[in-house]
Amino acid sequence: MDDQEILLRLKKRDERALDYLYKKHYKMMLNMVVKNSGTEDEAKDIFQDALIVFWEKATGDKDFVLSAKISTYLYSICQNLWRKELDRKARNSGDMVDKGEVVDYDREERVNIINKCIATLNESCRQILTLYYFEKMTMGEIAEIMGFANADTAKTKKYKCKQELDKTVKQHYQASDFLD
Amino acid sequence: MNLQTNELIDDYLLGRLSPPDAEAFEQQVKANPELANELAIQNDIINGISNTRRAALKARLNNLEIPKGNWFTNNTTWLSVSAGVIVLAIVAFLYQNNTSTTVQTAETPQIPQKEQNQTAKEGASKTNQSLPQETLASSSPSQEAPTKKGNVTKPAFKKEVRNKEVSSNEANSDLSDPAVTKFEDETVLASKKGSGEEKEVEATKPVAKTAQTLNAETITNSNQYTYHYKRNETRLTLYGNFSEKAYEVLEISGKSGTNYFMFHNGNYFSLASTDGEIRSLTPLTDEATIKKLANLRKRK
Repeated sequence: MDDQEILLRLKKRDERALDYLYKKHYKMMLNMVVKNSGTEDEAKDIFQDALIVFWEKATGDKDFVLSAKISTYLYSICQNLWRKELDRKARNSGDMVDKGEVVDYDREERVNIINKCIATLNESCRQILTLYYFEKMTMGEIAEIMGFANADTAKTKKYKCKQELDKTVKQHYQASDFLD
Repeated sequence: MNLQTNELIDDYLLGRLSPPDAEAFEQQVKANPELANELAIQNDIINGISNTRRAALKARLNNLEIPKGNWFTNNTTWLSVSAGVIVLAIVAFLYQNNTSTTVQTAETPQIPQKEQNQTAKEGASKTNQSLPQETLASSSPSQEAPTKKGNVTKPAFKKEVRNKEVSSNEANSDLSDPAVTKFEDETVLASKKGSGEEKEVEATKPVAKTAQTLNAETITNSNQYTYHYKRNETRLTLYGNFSEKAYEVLEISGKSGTNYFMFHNGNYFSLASTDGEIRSLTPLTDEATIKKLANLRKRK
C-alpha cells in the first residue's frame, strides 16, 4: 500500500489505514522519543497522538495533499509533540516558581458534566455528532454512512441529537450552579 | 439561542466562516455576554465530542498487536497473556434492611467456587480461545478469603459515607449517568471496607442476590465493528481484537444492581447494558471514576 492509497483510505475514514501506519512506523517513532529521554509508554502515547493529528488533518482538510512521505509527516508531528511534552515537564518541575496559574474550576466542572452527558448519548446520536464535529463530514456524507434518505434527514437528526445534548448539559450545569 | 445563532456558532467553531464573517461574529460576541457564554459552552461541547473520538481512536491503536521484533523491549506484563476472559470477583455487595447490613467485597464473593469456575469455563469456551491461567489464578485467592462478620448497631454507615462523597465531589453525583452514579456510591462503600474502619457486619437473613458472572464472547472478524460491545443482563459480546492483550471485566454489585466495567490496555470502559444494541467502546474520561476503578482493581 503506497502513501497515496493510504491517504485515500484515511480520507474515507478507514481506520484500518491508521492501524497500518501504526504498525509500519511503530519502531521508528518510538525510537525517536526513547532516544530523547522518553519512556516507552510516553513514546507510545506521543506516536498515537501524532497519528490522530494526522488522521484529523487527512479527514478534516479536504484540500490536503501529500507534499512529503507520510513517515516524514509523522516524524515531524512526533518531534513537535515530544518537544511540547518536554517543555511542559520542565515547566512543572520543582525548580520552576509557581506562576500562580488560575484554575478555572467552573470550567472544569462544566467539562466533566459535558463528558458525562456525551457518555449517556445513544450510539446513533454520538456517531452523528462525531461525524459532524470531529470528522467534519458534510450532511450528504453523514446520510450515506448512516443510511439516511438524504442530507436533509441527516441535518434534522443532527439537530435533534445536538439539541438533546445541549439540553442535558445545561440542565446539569444549572443544577450544579444552583447547588454551589 | 435560535437555530440561526446555533448554526453561526457551529460554523465559527468549525472554522467555516470567511475571515470577515468571523471577525463580525467576534464583534457580536464581545458586545453580547449571553452569546459569549453560549459560545464558551458550545466550544467545550465540541471539544468533548472530539476528545471522546480521539480517546476511542487511541484505544483502538493501543489494542493493536505489534509484530515481534518490531520493538526493542519485551513487554512481558501484557504480551505474555494470550487471550480470553478475566472476570474479577470484585464484588461490592450491599444488603440492607432495617437493622442490619451486609457489605461484601472482592474478598467475600457469594458464588460457590465450583459454580464460579464452571461459569468462567463456559465464558471461555464461547471465545474459542484458551482460558488464560491468570483467569483462575486471579479469582481463586478471593474465593479462599474468609468472610468477616460482626454486628452493626445502626444502619447509618451508608448515609455517612454518601454525605462525605457529595461534599468532596460537589454536584457531580447528581448527574443522571446511572452507571457512574451507582458506582460512586458503591466504590465508597467498598473503599470504606478496604480502609479497615468499618464495623464488621452480619446478615440477619440469607443474602438476597448472587453476583452474576457475564458470559463473554469475542468477535474478531467484523469489518464494521472494530472496538465495540453489546451486553444484556448476562451476556457480553466484544467486537475487535482482544486476543493479544487481555481484558478484565470488573463486576460491581450493589443493592441498586450490578454494574460492569472493563479494563483494557490502560483504559476503563463502562459496560452498561445496551439492550441488544452494538455500541463503540469509549474509554471513560472522568478521572475520579477511573481512580476509584483503579483502586478496586488493585484490591482484587
